[in-house]
Amino acid sequence: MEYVLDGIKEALRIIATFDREFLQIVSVSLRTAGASTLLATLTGVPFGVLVALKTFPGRRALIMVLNTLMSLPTVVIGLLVYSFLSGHGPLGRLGLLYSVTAMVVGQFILAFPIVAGLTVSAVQGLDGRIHPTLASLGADSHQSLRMFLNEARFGLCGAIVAGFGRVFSEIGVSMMLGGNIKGYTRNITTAMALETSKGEFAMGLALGIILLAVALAINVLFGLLQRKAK
Amino acid sequence: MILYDLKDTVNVRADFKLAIEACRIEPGIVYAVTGPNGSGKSTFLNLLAFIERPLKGSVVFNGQAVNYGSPNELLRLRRRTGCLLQNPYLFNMSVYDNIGYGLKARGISNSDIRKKVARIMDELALVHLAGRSAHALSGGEAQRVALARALVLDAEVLLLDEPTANVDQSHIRVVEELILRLNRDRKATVIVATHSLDQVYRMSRNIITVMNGRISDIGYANVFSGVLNEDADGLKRVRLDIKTEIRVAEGQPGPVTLAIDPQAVILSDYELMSSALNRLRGTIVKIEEAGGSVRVFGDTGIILCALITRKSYHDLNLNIGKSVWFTFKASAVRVID
Repeated sequence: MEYVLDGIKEALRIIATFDREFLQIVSVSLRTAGASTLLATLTGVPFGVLVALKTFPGRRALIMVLNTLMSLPTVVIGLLVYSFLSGHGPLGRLGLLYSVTAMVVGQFILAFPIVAGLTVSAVQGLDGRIHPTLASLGADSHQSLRMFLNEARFGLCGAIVAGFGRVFSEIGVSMMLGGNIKGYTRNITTAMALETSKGEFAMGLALGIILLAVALAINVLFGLLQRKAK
Repeated sequence: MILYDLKDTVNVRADFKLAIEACRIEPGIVYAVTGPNGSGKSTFLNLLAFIERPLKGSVVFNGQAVNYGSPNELLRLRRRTGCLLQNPYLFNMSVYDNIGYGLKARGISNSDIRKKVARIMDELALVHLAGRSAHALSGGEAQRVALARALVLDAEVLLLDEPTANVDQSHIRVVEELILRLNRDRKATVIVATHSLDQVYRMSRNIITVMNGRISDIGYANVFSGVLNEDADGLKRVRLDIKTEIRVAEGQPGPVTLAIDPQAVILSDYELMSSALNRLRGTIVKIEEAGGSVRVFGDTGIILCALITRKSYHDLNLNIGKSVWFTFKASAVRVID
């Protein structure tokens, strides 16, 4: 028990003194997760809205695929992207393997089906009277789309938060595509795995506390936004 | 001049078919669309609002056939109407923003939106609700907000589906008067769907009846105006002309409108001695088919219509010029103040 308590004390010290290595690790996590979530939002939300509102052949199958991809194992994505970016792969010449860019690409593939799939659910769950109401009020297609996004805003926020949560806490993609390079691609989850395996329990715990704190902060922020909007 | 001209128009949904052989709507007139629940009133209004497209037939608006393949034309036409849908939806935003939405969609300036929204909110007693979330309103308040959202558009055609549904009694007359004023002052064509016969007769003499997905002109019959007098013994009667007086069971003394359901009128060859207080003798002037029944119009000083079965029509051996008795109870007469 003393071991755990000492670890917590040391972890709090690392956080309170803004340890440089610690901040570097947190920064990599926030940057990669933020960038990949932003990309997934910019593509996944419009894609999800279109899938929800339009009818086309294969739509149901596409939704089923999206739902399945939501639980895609991170190491599978890591392996897939690795096969493309490695020296023998078709995109090997780009030299992106073991870079933050490669991590963002992998995390984007991880977040996209979550954001798009939950957007489909959010828009499909809207009141069926919205469409005829918009038509009756003379809204054009852009105005209608904006209103659909506005009406589904809680669900969309939930989709984005879920996407961010997934990529922020994943390890498979970061490890396989980032390589856990100190000061460059080492993020919270890869550092936690490394530090714990080295017996540096305090650093691992400090990073774990930050991981939980960020997740909590996002959920609190989302809750506040929801309450304010209501 | 014809505003809407519908010919052989058929609209089919999964479980419902609306078939309109012919229907013409003139500009600047108030029409009441009536009929039982599920008869097709809302589908009819949605067709007129260009929200639903016919599977067959044509809709001509202002002399031009509507091109349903052109989204821009549909948008332009929709923006010429102010439409209140049945069971309307309010967006998850403030009452003010809901009411102003259609104006904003039309690109009206913010200052004009403020003026127009303020005026309609004042007229419909909604000012105190302006900042409230539309999803926090009662049923009656929500209905008035949805109505305000349609009326604020100053559209040349107002299509209002059950405009006073859920609205409390104290506001029903206010709403009706506002709609009629928009027709009177701005020459707006108003088409109101309602299942309330009282409202139908209060608002219009141009009645479109929708029955089982078909349009019938049955509702035109038996609406009269007169002055109600009450005798010392409490007997109420309405004089319609020099020789015609109708006994009624309700209503306050003064000018009134009467409506008599054609199905409540009994035809006979001789005067029926019964509890029915209204017995008028008249000459048959017109006989019409009415979807399995027969409408018989008689001149009794007023033109009265009776809706009878085919069997009764044959049994009574009716024909134009024949003299018959029209009998109906005082309680069958609807009195509209």
